Amino acid sequence: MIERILTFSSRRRWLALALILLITAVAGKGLLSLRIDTSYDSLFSPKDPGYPLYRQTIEEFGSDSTSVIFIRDSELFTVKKLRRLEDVHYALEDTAGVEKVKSIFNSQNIRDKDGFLVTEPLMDYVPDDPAALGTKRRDAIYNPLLIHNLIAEDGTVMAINVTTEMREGDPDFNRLLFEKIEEQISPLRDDFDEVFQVGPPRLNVEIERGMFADLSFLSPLSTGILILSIILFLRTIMAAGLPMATAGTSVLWTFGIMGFLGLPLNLLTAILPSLVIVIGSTEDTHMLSSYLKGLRDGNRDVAIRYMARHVGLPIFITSLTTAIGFSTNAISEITMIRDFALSTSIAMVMNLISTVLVLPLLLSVIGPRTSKLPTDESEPGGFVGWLIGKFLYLVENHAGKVLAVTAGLLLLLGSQAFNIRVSNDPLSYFKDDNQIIADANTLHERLAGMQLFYLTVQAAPGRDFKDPAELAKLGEVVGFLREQGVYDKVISITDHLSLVNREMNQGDQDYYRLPDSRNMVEQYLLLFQRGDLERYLNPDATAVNVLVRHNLSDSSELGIHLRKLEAELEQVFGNDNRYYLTGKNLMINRAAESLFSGQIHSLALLILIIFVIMSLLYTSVTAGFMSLVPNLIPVFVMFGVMGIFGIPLNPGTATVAVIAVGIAIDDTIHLLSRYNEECRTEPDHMLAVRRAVLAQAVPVISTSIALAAGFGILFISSFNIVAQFGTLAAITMICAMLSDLLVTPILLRHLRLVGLWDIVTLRVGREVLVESELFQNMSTFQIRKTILLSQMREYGVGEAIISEGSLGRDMYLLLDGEVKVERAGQLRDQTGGRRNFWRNRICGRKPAYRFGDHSDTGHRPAFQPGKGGRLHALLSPHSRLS
Amino acid sequence: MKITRIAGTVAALSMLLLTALPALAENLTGRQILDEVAERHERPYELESQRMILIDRNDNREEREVKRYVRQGDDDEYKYLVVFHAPSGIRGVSLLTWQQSQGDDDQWLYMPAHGRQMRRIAKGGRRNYFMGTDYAFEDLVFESREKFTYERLADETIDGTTYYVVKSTPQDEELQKESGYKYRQLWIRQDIFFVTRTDYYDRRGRFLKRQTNEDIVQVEGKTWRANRSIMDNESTKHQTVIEVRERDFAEDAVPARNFTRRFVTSGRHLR
Repeated sequence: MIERILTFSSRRRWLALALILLITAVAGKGLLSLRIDTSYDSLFSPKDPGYPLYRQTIEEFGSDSTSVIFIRDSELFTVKKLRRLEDVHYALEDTAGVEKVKSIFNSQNIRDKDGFLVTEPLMDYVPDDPAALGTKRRDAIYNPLLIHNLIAEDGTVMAINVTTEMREGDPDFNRLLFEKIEEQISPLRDDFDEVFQVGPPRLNVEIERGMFADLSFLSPLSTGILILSIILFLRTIMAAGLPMATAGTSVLWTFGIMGFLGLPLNLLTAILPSLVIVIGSTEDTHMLSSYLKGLRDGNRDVAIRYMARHVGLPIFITSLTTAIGFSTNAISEITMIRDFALSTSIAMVMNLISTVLVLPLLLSVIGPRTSKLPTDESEPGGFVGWLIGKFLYLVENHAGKVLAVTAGLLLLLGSQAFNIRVSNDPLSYFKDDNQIIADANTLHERLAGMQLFYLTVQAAPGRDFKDPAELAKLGEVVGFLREQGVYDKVISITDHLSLVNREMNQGDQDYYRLPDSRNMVEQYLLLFQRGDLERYLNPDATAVNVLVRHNLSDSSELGIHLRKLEAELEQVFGNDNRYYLTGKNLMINRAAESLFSGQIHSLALLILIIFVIMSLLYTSVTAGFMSLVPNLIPVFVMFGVMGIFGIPLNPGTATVAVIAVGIAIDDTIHLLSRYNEECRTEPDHMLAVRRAVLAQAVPVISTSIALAAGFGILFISSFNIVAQFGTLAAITMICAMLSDLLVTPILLRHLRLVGLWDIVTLRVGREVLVESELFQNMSTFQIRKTILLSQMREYGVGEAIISEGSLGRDMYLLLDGEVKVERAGQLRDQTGGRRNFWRNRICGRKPAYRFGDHSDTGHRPAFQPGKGGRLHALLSPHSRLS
Repeated sequence: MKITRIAGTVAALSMLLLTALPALAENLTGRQILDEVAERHERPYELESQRMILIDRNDNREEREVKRYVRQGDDDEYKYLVVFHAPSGIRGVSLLTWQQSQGDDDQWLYMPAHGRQMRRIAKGGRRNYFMGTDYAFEDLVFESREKFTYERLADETIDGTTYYVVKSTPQDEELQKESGYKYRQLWIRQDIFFVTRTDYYDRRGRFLKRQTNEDIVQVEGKTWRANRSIMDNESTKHQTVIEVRERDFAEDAVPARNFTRRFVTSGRHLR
């Protein structure tokens, strides 16, 4: 059946072409709906238990999505420059999507001046007088709410903080906002020393830019690698173009389906074309290799049939396992990973369909008619041949050592896996030389980091935060946060109250502390407008919100500090107050914690699926288990490498293990499939292994190198997570290759495989099944399996099957032809009696006749084919049947 | 016959008035309209008991009980005292303002929880918001019309009522610096010369907030007052509603001693 499927498009070309065009047209429609999603929202789980609370906090205290416009100039406080910044501030206030703009232009100045209390806008207009400007500058720096938030200590840096609305589900929002902000600040760059914006809109835009750079740069590179690997390994230039056609259609169809399903193009799915090109090319390489080997007298149809017969089943199985490998990531809690998992598994299925439809069709029309590939029988030469020879030498002569070294290596690397840390912060996605990293660091050094989270605390029952006791607890926590030295800026209602207290006491720094009576708290709060307090204190004062800005982009490090904070909160608030740490920043980091568990779950699921598939395919649990071993070795290596080189587990690297297993199993399947074939005709297991390795080593090495190169080029991606993904996947591919060529053969030596497909499709003469006494009371499935455990032997006329006097415990089943028994003299049976019934009983026997089983042990007559021509018999070695 | 003649004269006068008034209204300048407004509605002594409600964008409400004392001094300048009576936490908090014809006003803040001294507020605080409300200090005082220019804009008829529309722009250089507004636009009912709506534009000319006067009642002679004023701040999405519960125009309701620091710090302002 598979042969028919694989040859369909070469037999029914016009129908196949119509089908391809139809699918392409439908996919083209879906392509129009394909959307881009570079938002923060895809980086955390909407099922995060803290999400409803986060929404509630945002409702109460305002959005945590803030863009900071950083302005640095050595002569910042001049009328001309400040007026320009003032214009920008107000233009931003008028910008759609902006919830709030905060800068020195709309900040409150509360300060004692020579016994007079100043309670006025700090700089709601820019005065002409330089002296007045100097005063404003000093006032701003003096204000604890503004310093390191809106102005730097030396007054040469200021910030305009733009809080944006929460527009979840609007993929264009951040991009448009970034552009609007950029429109305002771009003209400043000519006249100020440094101006930039950082925040979610810029992050989103930078991700989008990098994504398209990757798409436009990496895809052609992947294509180049594909072409190069095919030319190198298949030694044909003409065939190199064919996989591009399958890859092209696969990508188009996949994007179309993604459009229909609402799966977006994101940071990870942007590398999908490269993945399809690289992974798809491995299937194409196997198919083309087989096609070229099957070429007889330049006959394309023969070659296509040969290809279909030899690689058809493995192609289907490997595509299935690869798709499953990708899809198991779909259980991740992180939307971006889930989208990636679904998109790539769809891509793998599309690639299979495209390969089945497009490749045979093209081969039937423009396929090469000549091949420079060696035949199956010939051993590969050159470096690859030398390499394979070395592998076989190790397998055949040092199997124990190979396994011992492998186990030792795994132990060593496995122990390093404990050093792996998690990271999910969007900033960490970028490479260190990216300008956004430099800008974020500058912001952190001069003002405060762009990362933000909220600490929300509810007052003890029946109390509120006008109560000095409640405020004191809050003050203790705020003090703790500042003592940690990792949080750049912490602002809470305690700062507002301490500030007023100080200024009401003539600016005496000793009074920079919380008021000690409730009435004083209430009265001090009158000096603020509600808008100044709404981010820090709710209207009935039953809840407070602390803004914490930092520059920790490492989820593990942030996690450590948050755990310390939680311990402090527990100690300070106990059971009296409820408190929450919220913010997208935290949800994104919390999602990182799920990467570990998600990785384990996905891997376990994939292992189980592969185990079941392989056990079924080869009708043996041992085979299922064995097929896993060589594919888990690269996973161990990968985790070890991550631990040693400090590569974090992030949404990119978290997908590698299952993808790698999904892909690496392909080579194992090809090896097992070939070994299965060899075993049918080769009784010596080691020889069968050798043949299987010799036949498959070239495609295994070529596809592995092509895959490693394909993944490896992702190293030059604009993003750390893509580069790390590519590097790890490349390392894993090479490890999988080594594992398949060293460990798999060693394990195979002890295994006899019977393919389910072979059992199902085996054509056995009815008389063999019905007439043979051997098969009585056996199910058809058992009969077929028994047959497949045997080896097919063909004998010519007069050829001896069993020589008189030879010893053996094997059994033959005559499938067709005739045998006759000849003996030189009389035999004695075991009891010593004379027995001469062999000739009479056996001679002239027809198919289904069983002979030579263990009842004849030691006393076999010679069997040889009768006069009816060639004879086919199944040799069932005793070792396999027992 | 006499009756007929008198009736005829009255009718003629009425006709004259009916035809002359629109002409009169048409000829009034912005300044004249505002003079008429002041003439009719500015009173030398005034005490109001107010309920002040602060409403945020989420409809959270905060209520205060306030007494507002106003008294015109011998120099024609006004003095104001605002005293908070509730909630209990801010009871006694007061703001005393002495308006000055020249230069900045004098202001003192009293916070009883802080001590028995009034803190002098720095000069130039006209545009400061008043105690967390949407009213700036300059919104709560009678303005010196000499310091403004009043441009009359096209009249408007809203729901059958005709309004003068006047644009008020500070012309005094000092005031231009101190005011939080580039200009204001006032809607003045033509029949009673009462300001029912004021739109405030910030220093950059952007719409900032709107005050609407409702439940307008004639309190004495030509004098009208709004029992409910709403200041709706567009930029902050915040509202301050002032509901007047009691009103007294008697001189002894706002004796001169009430406008001294001693009166406040002694706690008599709460009696």
